[in-house]
Amino acid sequence: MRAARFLPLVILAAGLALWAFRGFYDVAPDEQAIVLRLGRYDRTVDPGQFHWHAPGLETVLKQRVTTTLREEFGYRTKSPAQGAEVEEHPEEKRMLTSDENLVDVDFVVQYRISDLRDYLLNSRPEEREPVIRDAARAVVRAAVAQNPIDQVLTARGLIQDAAREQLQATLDGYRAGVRIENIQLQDVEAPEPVREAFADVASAQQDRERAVLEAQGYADKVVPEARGRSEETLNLAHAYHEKRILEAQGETEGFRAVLGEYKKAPEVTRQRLYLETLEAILPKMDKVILEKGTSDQLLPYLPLGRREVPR
Amino acid sequence: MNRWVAGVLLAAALVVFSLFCVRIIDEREQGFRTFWNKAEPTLFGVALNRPNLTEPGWYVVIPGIHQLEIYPRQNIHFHSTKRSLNTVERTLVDADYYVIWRIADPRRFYEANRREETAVQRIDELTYSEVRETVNKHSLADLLSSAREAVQHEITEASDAKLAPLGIHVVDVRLGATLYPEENLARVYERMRTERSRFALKFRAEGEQQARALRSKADSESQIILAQAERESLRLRGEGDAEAAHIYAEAYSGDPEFYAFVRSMEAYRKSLDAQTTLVLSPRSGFLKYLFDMTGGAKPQK
Repeated sequence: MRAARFLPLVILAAGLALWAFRGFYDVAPDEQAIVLRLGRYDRTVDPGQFHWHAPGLETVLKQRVTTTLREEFGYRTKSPAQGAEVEEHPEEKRMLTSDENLVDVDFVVQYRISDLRDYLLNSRPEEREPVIRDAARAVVRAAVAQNPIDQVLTARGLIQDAAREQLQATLDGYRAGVRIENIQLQDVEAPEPVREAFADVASAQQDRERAVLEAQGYADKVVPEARGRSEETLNLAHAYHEKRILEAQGETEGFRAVLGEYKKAPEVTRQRLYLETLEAILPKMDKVILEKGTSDQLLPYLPLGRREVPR
Repeated sequence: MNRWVAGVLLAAALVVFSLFCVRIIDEREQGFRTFWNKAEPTLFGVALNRPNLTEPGWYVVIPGIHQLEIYPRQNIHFHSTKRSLNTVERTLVDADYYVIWRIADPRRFYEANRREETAVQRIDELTYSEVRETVNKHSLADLLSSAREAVQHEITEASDAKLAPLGIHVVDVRLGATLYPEENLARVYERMRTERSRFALKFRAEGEQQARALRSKADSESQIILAQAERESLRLRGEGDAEAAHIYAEAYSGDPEFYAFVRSMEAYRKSLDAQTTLVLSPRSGFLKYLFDMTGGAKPQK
């Protein structure tokens, strides 16, 4: 009878205990949770054991937040574990540049959840990825569209940064609750049909550099050579200068010596010199001795100029 | 005792009532509630119902009295198909775009569209016409510059204004790809090729120009160096000759007659050789003694 009186209380207490027990939940280390109280956002919960919420009045929404998420454009990595297998999506690559050229750009966007409340409450789960993809696609295209093709091909860093900033601003506008870690442009190249023409421009640039280098090489060779030859000419001239003077000095000294002797006995010396000279030169020559006065008659008969050279 | 029982029963009744008659609308939802299918019925001037439940919280929805339509409160994403657009200069461009929109007014939304699919259809039609008209007012160069942002903003504003009566708020409209249509690509590629070959020609010509400049400069430099050396060399040689002449003149002016003699002797040695026929007179000084032992002089005693 006594027990029967307390029965409703016991049932109530048991019910309450059961209800309270169902309120425990845990948040894994790579997760966060938000709690809605009567539908309204109440708090964000960090990882831990034995958190409690009031079942029926509060709702707990858990989400992995530590992983960096990744969206690829223009290609898909088939199996991230192996990494190598890549599937091309050419239709996602083609973009227009500001000078109305076409360019193929592959890129990847990495992001993480920065505000779980916004992330979970402002978008539908199945639309989160498409929104980020669409926004990234639009923003990268807009960034590429603001640069001429040569800039796009060479200054991808600039475009990456501009696109990252713009994408962050856009998604903040949707209160998407994500932070864009980076946008990386992978392959940036001219479309297949015109790639050869672009390669030719690159090789033309190299041709230009090569031509200049060759010309510099030529200059580096020709000028020192000329210097060398000029040095040579100058040295020869110098030698000639000295030689002439020394010769003159030598000859005149010789002459002075002979003159000294000559002054002592002019007649004899003069005769000696004369005879020595003739002695030296006459043996080699043909000689004809003619009386004076006959020469006029005989000369026409002499075989002048028809002589054989004695060998 | 009776109080306890009454309390427990009241609590139980509350729980049962709330289970059946209270609807919690959370942050992700909003609702349109009617009272006997009327949005704003009044009884003696007192409003009986608030139709727009846009804020999260708990609301009384009594079955049989209230009707509740739940709509999402989140952003909704719509992606268009590829459209052909004309720019102001009649350039045909293939473009697609996406729309981020929200239900701003559940009551209007219910009355105009009722279902989300209907709304999506209208958004598709209306944003397409806005995109088409706005792009039509701008040049392709606008789309390919920082003005693209302004164009998108213009489309967003116009779409939002037109869709507001349907209870829809357009958050953002953005162009995705803007590309030339497939059939124009060949021409574009041709133009790109032409432009590139122009660059290639220019670079090669520049290389040629710079190389020629460098080579001719080197040539001129080397020629000048050689000419300077030549000048210097001629000067040195001339000076040497002059100096030598001076030395000779100085030495020989001591006895010019004797010099003439000595120099003549030397010249004879050099110039008269085996090719010379010499006609000698026996009366010449050299042959003086050849036929006359005394040589015309009186023999010495």
